[in-house]
Amino acid sequence: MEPNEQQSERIARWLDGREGPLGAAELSEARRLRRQEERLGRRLDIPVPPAALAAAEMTLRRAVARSRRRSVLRIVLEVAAAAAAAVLVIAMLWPQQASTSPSDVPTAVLFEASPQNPNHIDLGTIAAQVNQVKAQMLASVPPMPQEGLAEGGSDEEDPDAAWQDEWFEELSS
Amino acid sequence: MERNIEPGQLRATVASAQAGSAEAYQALLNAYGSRLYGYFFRATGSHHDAEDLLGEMMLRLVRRLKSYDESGRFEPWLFRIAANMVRDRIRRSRTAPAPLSLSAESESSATLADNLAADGPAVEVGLQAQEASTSLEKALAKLDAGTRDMILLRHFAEMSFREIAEIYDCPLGTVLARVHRGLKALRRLMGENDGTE
Repeated sequence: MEPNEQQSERIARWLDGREGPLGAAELSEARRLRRQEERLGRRLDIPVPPAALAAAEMTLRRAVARSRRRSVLRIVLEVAAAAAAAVLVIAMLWPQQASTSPSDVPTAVLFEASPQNPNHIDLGTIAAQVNQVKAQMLASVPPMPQEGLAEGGSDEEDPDAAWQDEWFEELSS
Repeated sequence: MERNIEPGQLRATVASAQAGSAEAYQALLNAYGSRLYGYFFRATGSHHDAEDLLGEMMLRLVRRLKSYDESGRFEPWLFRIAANMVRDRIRRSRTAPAPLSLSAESESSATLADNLAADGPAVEVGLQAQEASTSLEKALAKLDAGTRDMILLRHFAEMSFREIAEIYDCPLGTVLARVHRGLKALRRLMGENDGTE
């Protein structure tokens, strides 16, 4: 029997262990094919020369050892990279953390409002700090001369004021 | 020749090997070494190439085992790598200017295995077995590479027709038809009856 494409497919499925409906001729062909494969299989097997197996063992041992060394090296490199990254982050954060001392509030305000620290943005706190800074700045600024005059801090008589007083008296009389 | 390793034991061995156990790799070599060697030898017709390919296979096994997914059968995965290696080797031998033929399909009628066999001790089999083996090698050498590979994968890798169809990306019926024709040709070439007993 020379099976066609469909018959071949059915026979292949049957030989793969997926039972399907086979006709008598197909079943006979499938069994014949199986016998032929088994008979050929017995002739195909060949003893492995011990030298070939020993060489393969040696290659395998070396490959496994190399693979282990690579794994260790990879772990060392990963740890080193993580440590370097941690050092870099600390180095970047260090000056900013140092500047948040109470004596340097304006820098602290800028730091807290910075978009690099979005988790720390608290508008209420920032507003309070801004007011605090403003108060400190106002307190630290020396009073200006004009402000002293306006507040009437001088006992000297103003000539203009005297002239105005006289002019009002003339009008009212 | 080793045949089957119990599925549970195979899973455990593969997992250990994936974790880097040298003993597990050794166990895999013990389980599949003979079959891989037989496949390489029958595919190339050369003990020298079979030995070389077995060593290379071990290197690839160590490199690729981590990518093996347990959902599939191990043998087809393993022999798929082996089949690709054989294909590469045959392709390279066709373009190489070497005077000796590696491929069973090359222009020269004498394969490297024939020459090694003629030298004597390189092939460590008895004379009678060697003669039978040589007639089989010659018959296999006359098949086209694809058909030969399908027949060898059926035996050494215990692959189903469906698994071979996936490797060759062809219909199931085509694989069976090629194996069927290949077996018939082998019988004819080896002077046997057609097995219709």
